[in-house]
Amino acid sequence: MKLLEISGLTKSFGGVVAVNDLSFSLEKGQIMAIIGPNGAGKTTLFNLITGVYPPTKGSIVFNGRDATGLPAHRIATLGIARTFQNLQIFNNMTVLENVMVGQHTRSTTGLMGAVFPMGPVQREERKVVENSLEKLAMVGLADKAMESAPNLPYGRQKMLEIARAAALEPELLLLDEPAAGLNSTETRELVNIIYELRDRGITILLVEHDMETVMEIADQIVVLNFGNKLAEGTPFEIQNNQEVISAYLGEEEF
Amino acid sequence: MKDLTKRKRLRHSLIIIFSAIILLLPFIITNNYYLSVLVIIGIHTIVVVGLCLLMGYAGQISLGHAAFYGLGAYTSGILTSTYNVSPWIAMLAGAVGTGAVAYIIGKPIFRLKEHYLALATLGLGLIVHVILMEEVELTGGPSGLTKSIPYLSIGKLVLNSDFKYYFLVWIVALLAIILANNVVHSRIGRALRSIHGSEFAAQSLGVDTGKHKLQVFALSAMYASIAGSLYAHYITFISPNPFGLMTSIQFVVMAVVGGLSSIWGPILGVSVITVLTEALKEVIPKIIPQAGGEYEIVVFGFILVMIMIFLPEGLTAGVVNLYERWRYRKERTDETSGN
Amino acid sequence: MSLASELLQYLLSGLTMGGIYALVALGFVIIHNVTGIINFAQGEFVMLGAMFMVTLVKAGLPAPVALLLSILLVMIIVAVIEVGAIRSAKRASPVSLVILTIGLSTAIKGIALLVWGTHPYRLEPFTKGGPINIGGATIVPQSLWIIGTTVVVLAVTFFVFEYTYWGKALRACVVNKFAARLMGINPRKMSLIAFVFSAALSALAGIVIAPITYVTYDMGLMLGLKGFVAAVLGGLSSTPGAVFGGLALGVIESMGAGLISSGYKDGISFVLLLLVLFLKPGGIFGISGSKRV
Ligand SMILES: Nc1ncnc2c1ncn2[C@@H]1O[C@H](COP(=O)(O)OP(=O)(O)OP(=O)(O)O)[C@@H](O)[C@H]1O
Ligand SMILES: [Mg+2]
Repeated sequence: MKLLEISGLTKSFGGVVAVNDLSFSLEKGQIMAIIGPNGAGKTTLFNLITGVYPPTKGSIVFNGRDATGLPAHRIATLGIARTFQNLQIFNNMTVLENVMVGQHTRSTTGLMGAVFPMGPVQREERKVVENSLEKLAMVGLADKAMESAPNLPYGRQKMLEIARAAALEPELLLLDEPAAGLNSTETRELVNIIYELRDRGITILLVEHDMETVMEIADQIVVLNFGNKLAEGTPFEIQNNQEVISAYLGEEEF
Repeated sequence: MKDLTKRKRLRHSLIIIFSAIILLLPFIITNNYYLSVLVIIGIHTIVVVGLCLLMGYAGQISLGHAAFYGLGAYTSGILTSTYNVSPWIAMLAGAVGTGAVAYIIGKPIFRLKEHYLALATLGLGLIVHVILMEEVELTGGPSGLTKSIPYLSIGKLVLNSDFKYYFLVWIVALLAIILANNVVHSRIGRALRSIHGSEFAAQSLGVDTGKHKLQVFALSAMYASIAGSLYAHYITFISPNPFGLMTSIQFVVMAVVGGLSSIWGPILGVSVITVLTEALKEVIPKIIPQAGGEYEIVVFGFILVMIMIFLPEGLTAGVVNLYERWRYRKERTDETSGN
Repeated sequence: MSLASELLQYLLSGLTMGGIYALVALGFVIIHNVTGIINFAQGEFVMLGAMFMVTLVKAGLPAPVALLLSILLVMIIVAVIEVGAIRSAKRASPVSLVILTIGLSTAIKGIALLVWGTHPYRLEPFTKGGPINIGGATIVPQSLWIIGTTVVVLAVTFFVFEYTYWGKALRACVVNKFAARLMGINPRKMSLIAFVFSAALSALAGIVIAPITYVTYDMGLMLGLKGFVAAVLGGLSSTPGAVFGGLALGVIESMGAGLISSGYKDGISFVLLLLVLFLKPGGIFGISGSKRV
């Protein structure tokens, strides 16, 4: 079953066409990787899917519903979560609170409830804390829950972002270069976390430059170059695709 | 989880200790003048707690809170003196009505950028003030309500002395602080703080930033309205004068001086400014004989400028920062002397 | 008076005040465009201009000298403020900057109170002579001075922005700060220039309006706010918008005061402000602002 269907997606910034007439679709339960050289339009694609800005043309269908042009917070409620290429941790909060914000759409306390926290509100709050701690445990940060988020080292902050996104309990999780800046141990941890998320039924779309990791975990790969789709296929197909090889070699020569 | 409860308990015990001090104060300070200053501090604290929620957590400034304060005062004043409505019902009506006005004003505004709310609230403040001045039949115009406003009473107990009113005002003020504290540590409070941390990330997690800002704005307007009602029943006479732009600015000064991101900020800010104002009223005429009350604005202005430049986070955070810097320097000197 | 001449009367007095509002609004827009700051102290620059003028004329200086000197003094004071206060708080959030300029405004007003006291001053009109009759409406010569000054100043401003190096540099800063820096334009210096230039405009506004109003330490507040409303009507970032906004506000206000109630004069401006914010957030004359990501 198709979870996400992108068709004819185009985004231009003034003269720059960052994403050009892109179409692909994502099966439920898959791990799909988007690869491509710097500036290929990968992050822009994520921004389009998550409603940071509307596409110039084309459509995004999620779970059979048209999600094109919805504002970011509406997209989140549909069940799409993401992490960011350059960390967007809430520096004014603790680690736990960061993840608790992730549970925003999974809780309902309104202003009245916030002002007068009666029984149900407190129960919900406890549930939110529990769920958040569970997400922290999943990424190995349970013992850091009460620390101030900016005090974590970089690699831990990346894990925190994943935990926070997972707290949304999304159907689709977008990870923008999750392995960048991680050492090899941390990358192993990351791979295991991604598998864990997949096993929990979350479909994963990730952007990654670390080819070894991509080839290991991806079921399907889409290659972007200058906003265009260069190729799509299994890791095996992509590794043997002449066009992809020359695009990457071309880049390396440069 | 244990840490979390420990923190919560610490927060709660702080509030309890503080409440105890507040409620014991009038038995120590028996001078009526001081008591009346404390009552006014309490009333202003209620407004400023709401304003701090708006400024510190929703990141929005309101230059019209005196209008909400005035709407509360006049609703109470007019309903009780002219229409003989029960004061408590009038207070409630004022709060609900003011909250609704804020909501209606805020709804289109929160789609816009920061400055515009400041502007719109400023405009609203001036419009309300003009109405209070001009609708003579309803408000009595510049000279104020002609009929006197009744004292508040609880059952048979008429709150007609500073001593009795002190307790009412401060219980409401403490409640205001506790409820605001609840908001800060709730789903809504976290959502609002997340906007400060990273608006991108907040939205990507489903936080509808505009909606929550608007809610807090309406809540803070209700706070101001209740404070206004309390003011009306305390003074038992109201005129448009205390509800103008200067008062709005004064509230902002109090909020900023205290610091926006602590629940103790408002009390500190209000106390410092109110005591300062009262002191100036005493001192200035001695230095400049022809001076009137307007002179306190010189001091206000300078305090604001100095705070924004040197302690942009307000006194509470400023003191904490200074302390930490001092400790850091001390540690360093300890280290070097140890070597 | 017939209705037509009555309307003409309102129009004329509206344009007079509108000219003042336009000058103040222009000051707002210049500062906002270059620095992103909404300067709540703008009205105080107007008051300072008027106060210096009154004082210098009283001290016996000939009016033209007093005028130039007053403007110069205000420019110097504002330069000091920019360097001393605004610059050191540049990294603050927009909310803090709003509060800072409110503080400045209050402090300036307070100092004016200390220096000049609470009582109102008057300034002689620039030229003597009774009211002039135009189609049944009357206009005092000073109004002509105000309208004339506004026209000349606007022309000069446009010339500066279009044809001089500094004007172009200022505009470059507006379009793209980063690119401007690459071209060797120093945004710090631009901020100073913007403040000083807009201070000059406001001071001039204060000077020309002084003869038809009372000059008091707190006159800046309302004039500043009206200038602000005018700037918003014009879209907050457009210079021609500010001018049209000012004139429109002046006329609407004067019509409203004449036809509805003079007590509601100030109310009308701010109701207009709220309506514009709600219905056309980009300003009546502005292009609707698009969100930048
Ligand atoms: N908000 C924006 N405004 C203007 N241009 C943009 C914007 N965002 C991206 N671009 C441009 O779009 C192109 C694609 O950028 P994008 O960030 O999507 O690349 P990417 O594939 O994520 O690269 P990297 O691997 O370096 O992260 C680039 O040329 C970039 O300059
Ligand atoms: Mg990228």
